[in-house]
Amino acid sequence: MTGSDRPPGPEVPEVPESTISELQALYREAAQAEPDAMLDRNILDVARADLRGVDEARARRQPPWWRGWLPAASALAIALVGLSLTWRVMDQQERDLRQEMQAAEAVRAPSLEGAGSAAPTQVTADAPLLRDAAPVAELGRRAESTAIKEAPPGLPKPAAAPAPMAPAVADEALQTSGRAEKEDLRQRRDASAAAAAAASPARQAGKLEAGGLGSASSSETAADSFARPSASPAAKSVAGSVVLPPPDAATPEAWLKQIRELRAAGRSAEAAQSLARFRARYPDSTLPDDLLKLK
Amino acid sequence: MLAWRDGEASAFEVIYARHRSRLFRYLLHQCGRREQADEMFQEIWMSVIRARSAYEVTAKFTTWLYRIAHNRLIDGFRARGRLAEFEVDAADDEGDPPDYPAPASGQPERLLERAQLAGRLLAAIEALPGPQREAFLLATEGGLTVEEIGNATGTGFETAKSRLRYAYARLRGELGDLQ
Repeated sequence: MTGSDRPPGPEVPEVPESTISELQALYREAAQAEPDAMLDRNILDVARADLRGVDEARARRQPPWWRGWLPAASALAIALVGLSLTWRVMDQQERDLRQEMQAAEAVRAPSLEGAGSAAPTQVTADAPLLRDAAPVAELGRRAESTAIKEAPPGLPKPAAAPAPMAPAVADEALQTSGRAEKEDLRQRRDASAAAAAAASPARQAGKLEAGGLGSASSSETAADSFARPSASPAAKSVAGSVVLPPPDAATPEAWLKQIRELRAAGRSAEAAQSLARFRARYPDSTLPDDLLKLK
Repeated sequence: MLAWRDGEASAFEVIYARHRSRLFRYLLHQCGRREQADEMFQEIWMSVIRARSAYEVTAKFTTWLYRIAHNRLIDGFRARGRLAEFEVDAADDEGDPPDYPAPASGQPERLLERAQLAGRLLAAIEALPGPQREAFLLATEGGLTVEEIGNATGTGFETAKSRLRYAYARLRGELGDLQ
């Protein structure tokens, strides 16, 4: 008997193994029919064409070789454009600053009578230095103008102060603002440390509480899952209202309909199981798109 | 099948060469007419080709193939109004177990030509009820176990076993001079 280890039922006639073997041997001698060669050729051609179609579709989907370089080339182009723009903006700012300084010097020149001709010379000599420290010079100029405004009327105008002094003032201003920032940062750090220290016991307590809540919520979830059907009578009525045909309906269409109904009733697990049985029963069937997700 | 699904063209040729003759004979002895067998044979292999991309290993390939064949046969019988042959369960069909005589060994009548005996066997197979014939062919041609026959035909183990036993018993009865 082929593959059967179980004892036969009492109602089934017993046939000796030797007879079964003899029957099978005789059958193999008798049954020699083969499919036509034409049939073989057709089937093999279709199978090859099917694979060729897949290969062609794959080839159609494959992008050209240069597509792979596209992201890198784009990134490079963006970087180049960015660098170029940055450089131009910086260059422009520098030029503007220089022009402003020259204009300021030109305005200041008449009022520098008697201050000697050293200052302009010094400014010229410091020009490269100033260019390198353009923002610093800007700060210096601001400090200078402040000094001019605040200077007592009796004193000679600080505008007469030599231009090279501006970087020094700017440095001081920077240092002052740096100190202020550091101080501010330190205060913030202290404040946050204090807040963290204050919050840590609370957090631990909170964690414990959260753990308690978590377990409570998980137990609640479990309880919920049991209680849910009774808690939502509407859902219950929807699930109950679906009249299901007997499992594994007779026709594929009815079966698929049944699976859809199960899914619509929220019984996804059962729907998936039914679908698996369907696929085993009709292995060559093409599943509708809406049921593919259930797989 | 997996190799073919993954794009290896030669894998199908191997599968086809391995199963073509047996599947064809299974169909031929089930329908009894060569044209119908040809048609179904082609349709079944087309189904296999169509199912390639979605193929998953859920059973032995032979079981899977004969499941498709069984479904196709049922469709064919339904279309030709012969479905009743497959809807009758073997046990219901048979009633009491037949009391076939045991082969009479050692009789001088066993001089029958083996070829004639083989011819009678084929006739006896065709005379079997559809489910029993199918069980016999699945076991003999497909090489399926009882469990696999149950899976391929969508019946349980016991039903498949019962059908197979009845088939052997009937064939032995028809060929009383066997052995």
